[in-house]
Amino acid sequence: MSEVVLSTLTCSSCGNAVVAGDSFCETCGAEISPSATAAVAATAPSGERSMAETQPTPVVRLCRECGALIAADGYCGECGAKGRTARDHWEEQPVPWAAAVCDRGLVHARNEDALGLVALPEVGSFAALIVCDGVSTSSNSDVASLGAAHAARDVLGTITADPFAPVSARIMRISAAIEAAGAAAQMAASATPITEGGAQSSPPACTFVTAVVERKLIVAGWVGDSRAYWIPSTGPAELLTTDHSAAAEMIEAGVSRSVAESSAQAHAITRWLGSDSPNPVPQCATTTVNCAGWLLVCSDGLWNYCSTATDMAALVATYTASANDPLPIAAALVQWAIGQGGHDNIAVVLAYIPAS
Amino acid sequence: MADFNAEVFQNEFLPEGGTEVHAIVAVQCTNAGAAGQANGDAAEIIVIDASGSMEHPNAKIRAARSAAKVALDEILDGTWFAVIAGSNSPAMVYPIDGQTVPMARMDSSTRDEAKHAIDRVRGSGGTAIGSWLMAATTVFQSVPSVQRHAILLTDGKNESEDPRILHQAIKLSKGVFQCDCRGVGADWVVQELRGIATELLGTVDLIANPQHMEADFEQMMKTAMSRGVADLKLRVWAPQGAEVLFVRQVAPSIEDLTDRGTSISPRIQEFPTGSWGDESREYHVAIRVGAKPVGAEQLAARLQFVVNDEIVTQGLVKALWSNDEALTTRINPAVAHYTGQTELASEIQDGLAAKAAGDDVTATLKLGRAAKLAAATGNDEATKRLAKVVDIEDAETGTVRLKRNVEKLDEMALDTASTKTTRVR
Repeated sequence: MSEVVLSTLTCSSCGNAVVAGDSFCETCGAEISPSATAAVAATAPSGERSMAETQPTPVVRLCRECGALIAADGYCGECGAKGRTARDHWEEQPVPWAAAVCDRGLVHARNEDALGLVALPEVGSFAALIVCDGVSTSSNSDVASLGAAHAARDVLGTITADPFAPVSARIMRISAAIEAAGAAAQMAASATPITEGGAQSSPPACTFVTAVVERKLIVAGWVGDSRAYWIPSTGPAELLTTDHSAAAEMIEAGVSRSVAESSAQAHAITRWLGSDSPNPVPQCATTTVNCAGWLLVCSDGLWNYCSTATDMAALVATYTASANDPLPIAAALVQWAIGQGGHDNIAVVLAYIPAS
Repeated sequence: MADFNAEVFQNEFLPEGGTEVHAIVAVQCTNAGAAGQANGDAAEIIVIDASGSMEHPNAKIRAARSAAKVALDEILDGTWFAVIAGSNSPAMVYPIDGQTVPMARMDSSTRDEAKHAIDRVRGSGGTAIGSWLMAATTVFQSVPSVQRHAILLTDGKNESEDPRILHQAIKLSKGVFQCDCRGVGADWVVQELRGIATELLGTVDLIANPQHMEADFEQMMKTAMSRGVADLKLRVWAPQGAEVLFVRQVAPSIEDLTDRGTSISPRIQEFPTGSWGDESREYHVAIRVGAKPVGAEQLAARLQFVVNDEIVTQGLVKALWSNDEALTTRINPAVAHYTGQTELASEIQDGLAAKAAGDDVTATLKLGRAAKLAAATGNDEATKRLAKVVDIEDAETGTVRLKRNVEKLDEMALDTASTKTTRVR
């Protein structure tokens, strides 16, 4: 497995370090040449899975609010805004056909969303898209979510492809891997220590969703209210997951989606990962790919503004009409959510699935 | 090399729409070394009042002579020094022979010569403190020292010169040397000496009994010699659009620094704090920032302590907007304590000023409020000094009665010590 070292990449315009997968230099704002990103992809020999390792990197950063330099103490040198840390915003693109963007949004002080992405270089051959959304009422959830997402990714990255086995056997095998990934994520989330002063709050907790695509077969697994959508180029889009939430239970009981999702209790999740989880075993669902399309895994920071499969498909279509590089599209979806108010953290993982 | 450590005490949580951020920064200096050892020389001048009144009673001039000699014993060898006697005009006591500069390097022979010269000082004439300060400034600037300190002793009011001369002299001396001021007896003006000490980053105190002068001079010079850090500056960085409401030293005594800042960049103001030994001081900083949405975090101030243009320690003051009332309504104990101590100082000073002006109603009210604050903030020393000027009937409500026949010295003691604070318990 090849490891991508982030800080070895430099901006061709100003020479400062850039984060792998970033589209723009954090220092000078110059567009990062595709060769830099290609160099990352090229470090993964064909047939080996690529993943981007995200760690806080000491790069020169600019303030998102006023554009001045972020000082070494983490705050803007001009306006004092808290500088974006590597945990506040990062992007991954281990292969050209799959990418991920995670962002703190505007309102929350911490980014408790996390994601994971692992894929094979050949388009559509194999990818696992993962999102974990930390529960903000519990302590240290940003640590729990990142630990869980990475633990799940590391398990799913070891799936042995067997695309010629019968579909039912493939579903069984992938579901079993998702269950193992869920167990690893659950371990990571419950092992997260409670922060100081967090004794009164609940222990660290997060949601979990993954969508695994393997040669025209998609299997999704989830705990909580983070979602997976399959958005084909033709035909109706599908919401592959059913939230484990109070809202979903209301919908089940006959309340309309719009009413249920705007109710006060809508965001109360009924299942999660963490030491006090009532049931950490992922629920699974599957679908098959009949035409080219987009596989999207996201947190409620995105879908809150665009819940139904139809609405989500329409939104994604506005960005995919003229482009098919998933990174700028994922970044645009995140930016769109920020434009809607950015009330929550946002995690978007997106993969392009070809027709054949 | 001295070590510095800054620690910030604040409640960083602001309610929705909140804009005012308060913080106390405590700075500790260790391994300061001794004056004149780190970089460049130290210089000391002892200015003693040699006006006619010092001879009445002559215990004052005798005490001044022996106190000055004791102070000389504390000055480290190699330090530049001089002794000036002040009356209607300043006179060099030592050195006076035909040397190239009006200061001498301390060694055993110059120390002995200076002591003999001090023995010949007699009192006559008036008090013109401005001229003494000007002389000290000139003498100090004759040698290339980086750390200059003076002790100034007087027993009287500055009545032998135009008050504008003193004002001008303070302006010229500012930044040249630090000055600890002492008044002996009851005939000097607290306000006058405090004005000098405040501007020249020194202390002011009353020597009620001339017998205590030796010990006081010894202590002052010991402290000066232990200050191995010549010049520490406090830089306050505030974000674009923010306003620095005030910057105030609050421990060991209250000094308002707000108007003493110089702008070194659009965001940064620099405030002088003088020389440092192994000690700790605390500062209260208040900043007004623009309100941000609930959940947002921003830096309200960087408090940087600087020696020779190098940041030796830094404290961060933060603002975090929250809709959790349990967080936003909490007042930090250090901020509350020093806010109370600052009020206490001004109530004492205003109360005494009102009393002197014959406004007993205001005096009673202010000193009553002072008694209440002293009790509430646990400043027992202040309570003790207040009790010599007023009868405290109920400290909790601030009910006091002005005493009849108050000793002038007791009032002066209350006034000079008004800015001394107690630490947070």
